[in-house]
Amino acid sequence: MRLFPAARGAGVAAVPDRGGLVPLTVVRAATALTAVLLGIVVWNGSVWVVVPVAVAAIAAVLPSIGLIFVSLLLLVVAYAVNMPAGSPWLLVFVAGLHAVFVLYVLLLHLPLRGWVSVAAVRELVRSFLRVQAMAQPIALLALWVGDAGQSLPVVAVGVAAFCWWTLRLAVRRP
Amino acid sequence: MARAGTGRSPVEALALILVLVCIVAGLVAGRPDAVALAAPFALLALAGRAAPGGGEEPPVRISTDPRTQGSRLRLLLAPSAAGGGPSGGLVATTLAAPGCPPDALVLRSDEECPLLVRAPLSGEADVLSYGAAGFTADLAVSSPFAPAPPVRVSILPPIGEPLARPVSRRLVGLAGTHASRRAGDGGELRSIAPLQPGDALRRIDWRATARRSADQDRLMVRRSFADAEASVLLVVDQAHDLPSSTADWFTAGPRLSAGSLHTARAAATTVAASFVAGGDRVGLDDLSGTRRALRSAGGARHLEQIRVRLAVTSVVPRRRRGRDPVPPQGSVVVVFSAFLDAEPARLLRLWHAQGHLVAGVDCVPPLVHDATTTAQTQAVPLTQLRRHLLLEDLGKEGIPVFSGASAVVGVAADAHLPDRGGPDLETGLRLMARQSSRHGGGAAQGAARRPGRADDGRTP
Repeated sequence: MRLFPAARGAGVAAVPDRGGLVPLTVVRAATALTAVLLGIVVWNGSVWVVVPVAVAAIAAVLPSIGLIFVSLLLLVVAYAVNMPAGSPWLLVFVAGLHAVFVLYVLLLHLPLRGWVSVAAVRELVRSFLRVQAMAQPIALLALWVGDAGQSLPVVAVGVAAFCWWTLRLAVRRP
Repeated sequence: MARAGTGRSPVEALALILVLVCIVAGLVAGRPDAVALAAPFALLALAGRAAPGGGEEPPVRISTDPRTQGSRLRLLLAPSAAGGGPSGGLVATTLAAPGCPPDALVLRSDEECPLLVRAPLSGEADVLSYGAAGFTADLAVSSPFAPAPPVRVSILPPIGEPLARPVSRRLVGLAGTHASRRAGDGGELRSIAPLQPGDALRRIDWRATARRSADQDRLMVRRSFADAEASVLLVVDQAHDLPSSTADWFTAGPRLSAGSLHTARAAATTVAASFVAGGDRVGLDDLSGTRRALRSAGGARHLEQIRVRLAVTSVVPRRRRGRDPVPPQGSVVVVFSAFLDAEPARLLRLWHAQGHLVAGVDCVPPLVHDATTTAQTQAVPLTQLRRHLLLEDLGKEGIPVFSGASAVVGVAADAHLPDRGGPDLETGLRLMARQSSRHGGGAAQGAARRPGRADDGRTP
């Protein structure tokens, strides 16, 4: 094989000398997979599902603000357009969109290759669950409000319950 | 990573835009569940507003770890004492080894991680560039990416097996293990002569007295050659560092692979260690004239100074010197060079003409011919031809040039050495030592055979 000076890998990369590390490739694959699964759900039965799948895959490998925005926009708008009101998929989408957003943001400033420690992943999951502890009740409340229609007492009770839950989480947060 | 420092980051703006999109989509469709999709983004944007950003200092530092693994150097990535990242979060460190694309390492802010990097075989080099950014676990707040000074290491050149020690015939030292041509205290017999004022009584040779002074009117003393230490001047040519890969001859940038300068360092260290171990004095100079020469001295501490000086030797263009280096009188001069130009050969000729025992060490490592372009493949044999002619001229003038590649640990004896006919360093120095001892021994034996001429003319 003919090697050119610019193409010759002259150096040897620095590698971590310990266990408990997840390659960034796995994180990218997980990001793309999550986005693709969400896209398949909302674009079910349409050939246009190729678009969000392709965008999600590219955004996971070469993340940029524009691609991340387009990828999330394709999911959000498609959910609003394609999913029926009051669908229980809302809970999955609130978690999924949040997860995709966090993973995209994590990958945004990182080089193509690398590692994430398991402890860091655990910390990310813990923080994710903390945010979801507030987001999921909001989603439940939205579903409840959507089912209740114009019932003012139900909405008032739901909002009061959400405020109490938020306040409780805020007070307990270190 | 939504908020960096005090300004609003693109990520925070992205979260806010997504919140607006969800709200607008929900309002247009009349669906509160679509509005609920904005909840996590809104919470993240709020968290980014509430928390302060980090400082300008990198939140991690990388230090060298004394434990090494083979040819790879072990470093330790640890949280910085004056870390600039958000507390209790994550740290993303970007690592870039020379000639490699960058890698990322995301750790918890209190985690440590050992790293293995490739280190130079000898000398000083930046082995790793890095920078880091800290961020909270929800990625809402981040400190700006802070680059850190690269990790620079200095590897002392290795000491090889002891080599033979050729010495000059004009030894001027007063203590050592070599027999000089001067009369004095030593182990080698110079003559047996009648006792004279000033002769030590312990030098009286009673057997010779009984044999030669039949009337017992004269006492005969044994006289010896004075012991002396040799003086060696090592001259390193640091104008070039010729890599073993011919393709690397034409590329710029940092390189950790072994080149002619590493060979020069390793060979010079081995020669210095051999002479210092024998009680001789060793000095060090360079052809570029950038630093003051290391004066000639002996001892283990001086050997460490030589190794340190050799370790910091890097490629420096040769500048015009006011005067050529002057070796100590009666010293052996060894020039370590790649012999790419005429300057080392000129100095070798000069010192040879001044009566010093001189030798050159060709430091070009075994070559791997992998030049790619036509111009490169033509330039390599031309360079080799020029070197060949320079070395051949030196050989014709009786100046030996040895191959220094054998002094490098890991170079096989049957490796493809550059096209020159000189012996390896060990063999060459052994031959040189044998020749010099033969000449020196001949002189001593001659002097021993002519005691009357050497002493006072009174032949017993």
